[in-house]
Amino acid sequence: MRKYKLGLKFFSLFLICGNFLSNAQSIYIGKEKSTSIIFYSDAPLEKIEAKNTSATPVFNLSTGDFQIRVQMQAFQFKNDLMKEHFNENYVESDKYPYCTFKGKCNVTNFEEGKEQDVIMTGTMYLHGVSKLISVKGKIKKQNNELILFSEFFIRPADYNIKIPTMLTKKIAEEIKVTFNSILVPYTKK
Amino acid sequence: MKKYLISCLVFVNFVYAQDDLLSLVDDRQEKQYVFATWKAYRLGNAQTTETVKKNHLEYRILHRFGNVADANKTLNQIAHTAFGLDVANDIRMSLEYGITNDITIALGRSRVNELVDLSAKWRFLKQTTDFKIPVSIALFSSMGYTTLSPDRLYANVAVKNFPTREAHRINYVTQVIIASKVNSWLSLELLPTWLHRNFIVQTFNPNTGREDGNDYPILGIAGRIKLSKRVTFFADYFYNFHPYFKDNPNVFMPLSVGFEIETGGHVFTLFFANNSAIVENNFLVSTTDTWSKAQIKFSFCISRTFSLKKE
Repeated sequence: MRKYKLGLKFFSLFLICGNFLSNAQSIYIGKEKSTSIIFYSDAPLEKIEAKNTSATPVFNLSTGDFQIRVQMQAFQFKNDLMKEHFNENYVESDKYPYCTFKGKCNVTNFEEGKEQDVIMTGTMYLHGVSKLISVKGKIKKQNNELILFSEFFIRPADYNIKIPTMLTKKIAEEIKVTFNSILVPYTKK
Repeated sequence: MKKYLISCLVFVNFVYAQDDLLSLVDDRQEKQYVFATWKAYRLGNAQTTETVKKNHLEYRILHRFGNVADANKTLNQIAHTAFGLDVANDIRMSLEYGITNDITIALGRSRVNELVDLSAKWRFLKQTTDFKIPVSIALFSSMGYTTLSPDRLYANVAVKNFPTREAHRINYVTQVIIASKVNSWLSLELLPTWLHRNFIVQTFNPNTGREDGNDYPILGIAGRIKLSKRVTFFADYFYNFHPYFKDNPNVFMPLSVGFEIETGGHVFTLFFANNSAIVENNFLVSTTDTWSKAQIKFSFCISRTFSLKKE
């Protein structure tokens, strides 16, 4: 019994240490208010831009897992009526309040001060539709912070977001998404 | 000690078994408010609980044509007005400005009674998505000032040397708007309303002999059904509780039925109504046409919202 107890102690100690070294140190999480997602629709009649600064990405360097959940209602537009229509008619945020991306990054080792090209491959879940996507970006490690940047295009049609024919001159077929974020090592609060 | 170990283990396992990294993020919002209960600031006749967004300016043009049909007239007479399209019963232009997301002030001018109206709408309670607050409630208040010439304003006054006063030109509407977005396609509202006119030329109900008055208690009811994401069907009705209105062959309750079509920044409202006047201060008491005699008028409203928000 005593032996078992001791074993348990060591085992748990080992697990805690192991966990601390391999997991806690390798998990990076979005620094407060450092993440911005901007989408831009460039159509002949109207340019629409919206910005979201409420999301927090999580990146596990030991596995390469990268995940982010974006609240759709937190996108801010110049015209708030556009925001309402965006939520009500396009992304239907009462039914689908979040857009999530869960993917893996092809690079997990980052040298201090060096910018590296990366590709993230994973599932984008938006408007009730899951789609496998691959996104190119850049990651730079600086003072033990990871600075992320990416620019990519998504097609609303791929996510079953229909644009009425009479509005095709106002909403682009491809929407440019610009992603910026700073990640810091995760510490339990 | 044992407890401590076990909790350690549990914690370790928890962290290990964590495929879902997002559980580390606490971004869930506690209270979610219902939005887009209605498409526009107004339905046909009824106000809605919608306000103009903060620092946004809305411009609305409303037009009420003549009778599409009329049981008191021949088809030929109606056809000569292109089924009402030649007639402009009322025209109203208004500007609405959002001081905050829940307080809007508006200035409008109508053809009927040459009425200039200044109004404010304050939505002080917002429905939540979990129905813990099941309704949104707004207070609407409007002051109307008629710019009619004294000859027309006092046209039916029989008293000689009637003392004229500036206050005679003013009337007030106060309304509580209680609305609920029942689900994604159905919204309903009740509008208890009080109308006060400073000056009336007294008339009598020919059937019951009841006099009309300065004050009217009125209840409005309205609803809308979303036919598609951008098209809704709606109806609104106002019931006047004043005894003068009971069994009166000359005045009727306003009813409007129509469609709203949203196209990006615009909302078009297309509807039919029996009341000639557009604004509450007028139509709540001056509706002399009725659906039962097919005295209905086509009406439309175009609204455009401009953002005056600084970047």
